[in-house]
Amino acid sequence: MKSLVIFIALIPTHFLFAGNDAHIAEMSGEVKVRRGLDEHWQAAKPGLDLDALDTILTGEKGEVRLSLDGDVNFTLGANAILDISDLRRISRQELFLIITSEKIESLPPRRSPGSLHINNVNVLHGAKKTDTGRPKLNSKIEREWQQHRNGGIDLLQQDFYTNAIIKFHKTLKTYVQVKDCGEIYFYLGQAFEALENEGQALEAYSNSISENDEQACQDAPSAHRREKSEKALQRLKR
Amino acid sequence: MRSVRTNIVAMIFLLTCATQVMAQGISRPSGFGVRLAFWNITNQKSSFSLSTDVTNVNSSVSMNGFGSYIYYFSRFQSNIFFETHLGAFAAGSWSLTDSEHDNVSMVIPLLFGLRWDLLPGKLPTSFQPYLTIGGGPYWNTEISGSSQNIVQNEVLVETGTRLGWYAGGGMNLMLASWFALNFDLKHHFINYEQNDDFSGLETSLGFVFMWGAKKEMFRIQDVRVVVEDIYPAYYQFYNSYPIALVSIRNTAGYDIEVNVRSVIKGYSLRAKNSGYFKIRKGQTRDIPVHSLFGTNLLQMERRRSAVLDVEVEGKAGHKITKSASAQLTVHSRNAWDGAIDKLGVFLTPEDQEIREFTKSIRVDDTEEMQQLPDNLKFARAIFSELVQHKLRYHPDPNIPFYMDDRVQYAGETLQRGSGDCDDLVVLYATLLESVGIRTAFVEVQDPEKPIAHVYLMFDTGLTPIEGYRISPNDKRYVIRLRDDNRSTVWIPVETTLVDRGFEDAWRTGATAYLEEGKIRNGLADGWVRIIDHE
Repeated sequence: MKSLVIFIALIPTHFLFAGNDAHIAEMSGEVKVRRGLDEHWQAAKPGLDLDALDTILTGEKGEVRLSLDGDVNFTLGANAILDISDLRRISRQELFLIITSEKIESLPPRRSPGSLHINNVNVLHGAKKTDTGRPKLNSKIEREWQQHRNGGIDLLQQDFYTNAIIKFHKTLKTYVQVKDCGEIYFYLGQAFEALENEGQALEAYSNSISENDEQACQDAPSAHRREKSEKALQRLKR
Repeated sequence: MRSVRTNIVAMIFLLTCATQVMAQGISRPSGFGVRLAFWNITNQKSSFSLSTDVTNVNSSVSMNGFGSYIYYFSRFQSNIFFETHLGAFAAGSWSLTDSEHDNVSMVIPLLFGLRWDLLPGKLPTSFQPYLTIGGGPYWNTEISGSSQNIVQNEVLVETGTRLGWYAGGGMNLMLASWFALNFDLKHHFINYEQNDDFSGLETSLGFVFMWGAKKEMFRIQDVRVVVEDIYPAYYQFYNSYPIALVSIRNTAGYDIEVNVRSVIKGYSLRAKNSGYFKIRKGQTRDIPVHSLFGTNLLQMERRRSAVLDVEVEGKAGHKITKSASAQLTVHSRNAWDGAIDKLGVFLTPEDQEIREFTKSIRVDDTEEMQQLPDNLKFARAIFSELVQHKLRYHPDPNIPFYMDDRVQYAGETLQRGSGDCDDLVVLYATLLESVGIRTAFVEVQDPEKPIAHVYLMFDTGLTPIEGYRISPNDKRYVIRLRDDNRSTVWIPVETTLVDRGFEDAWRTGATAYLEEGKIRNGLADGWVRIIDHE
């Protein structure tokens, strides 16, 4: 049974984008594309071919369905950013090597003075990624962080677990000073749990709880996430 | 009386000190000795008496166990020897007037035993006390009668053999490694019959000759050269990394200490001592050998062979020195073994010529440039200066086996105006480091390409969320965790594009890093490596 679950979990990654052919199958709302190392965004249109180095961005009401190698679809929801290379095929072994090589687990402490604090992060796995109850974010950095987080959640929700893990790690590494009440770690925990990587899942949930256990994280979404993390810890420890 | 005592003390002192060269216990494995001995076999007093009166002259001789030994010994283990003794003792009494009372006793012992030399050889003394124990057959013949009766066959002869044993001790005084004086004391336990107990103390004095290979304190088993090829550019590395291992076996039978002194004549600044290492008895230990090189090695214009001389000094009360050597190759100053983690040794940011070059560079002070972080401004200006100097990428020719793969120092590349990928990386990294910008090499050993490649990245000093100051596209830079636990933004640069300007070099470097390092997983698989250097 366990091996069957692993097999099912690996199916999506097995058929992922090999980097040869990706194009926009459908889109709605604001969708932009940045080519390779260019610094400017351009408006996307259906049928546009995408390269592994390209980046895609959706606006507040934008959504885009990508067709990967002709037979796999991926939908990027609103207010999200994703590198096309984030959709490449990453096996569990490769994931392990990537994490090890980058030593992501030894990320620096995220408690530096003057750190940026984001309140009321309410996005949960399985819930719609809206920012209900959350103050409007004006900062460019906060918006970018949110777009990357949303891109990662899309990967997670569509069962691209290894890709989601890489994306969340990159987000953690880039936005070291963003204080998110353990939200990214919470999603990391879910992705590792889905891959039955219990050790990493335990570590991620523990990190999420430790970052969520503060005066500044007493809003409802944080409390809900903390409760889910604690339940996950109990479940995994059993 | 006082002067006699002083003389004795002085003699002992001289014997002890002057013969220290022989102070290794019995250093040779075999020996043959002769002793004259006294053993009171019959438990009577030795005497000679002569008395005369008016009618008779009485004289008698009583001798109670004089004899001699020849003996042979052979080392069994360390300080323990097998011994074989063959002796002959005679005791008897003769009366020159009373022929009825002549009798002679003879004992011929053939003894096998063990000898244990008490002092470890490391003591600086020539006195070697020992204990012995053994046993064997003792042949005994007793003849009694008178000289007239002998003619008439009226002599009583009794023979017998008994097994007995002995225990005792003694001392050898080593006068040379092949010769010693010997004093020995044994107590024999041999009882032929109830009333015929020959047990008793035997004292002997003799000398012994020894032969065979001298027992060594240690043996140099092997000199294993770890670094057969000395690259002058790495000279500082060799000062802390052993270039050879000397395998030394302790054969002394006690703990010793050894120091290895090494020198490569004509290349080392001076001989280097390893310091004393303890080697327990019977053990073998590898002692690391270092060589002390200086900048003189950087004068090497061509490859030459050299000899590593090692001198091992063993110490345990006294000192023994042995030497060995091994051959090495000292390469030319520009030689490089292709190990990317050592390419950094070719960086010379402290060179006067380099400092003057970077000092002369003017940073563009336009409004656009003012937005950029200082490190990027400097890096861009230095690269532009190289473009101005018309530097070109020029690949190395195929290198025949008798020539070294070479790397040019930054000054040399500036003078020549061209270099291959490693030369240009060394040049640009040297210039950046000279203005305090941290750099790292990126080595690519693409499994799909026949040759390796190297480019570099430098630290902008910006934190990841300040990356937008460089570019809104985060694909143009790399976020790296620094050793002070801070992440900073680094920029990859393809230095072989030195004729096309900084923008192209940056874009190409960043694209290569993404495609090879990230998308094709080169970083995770290990064929893309980032090597930092101090």
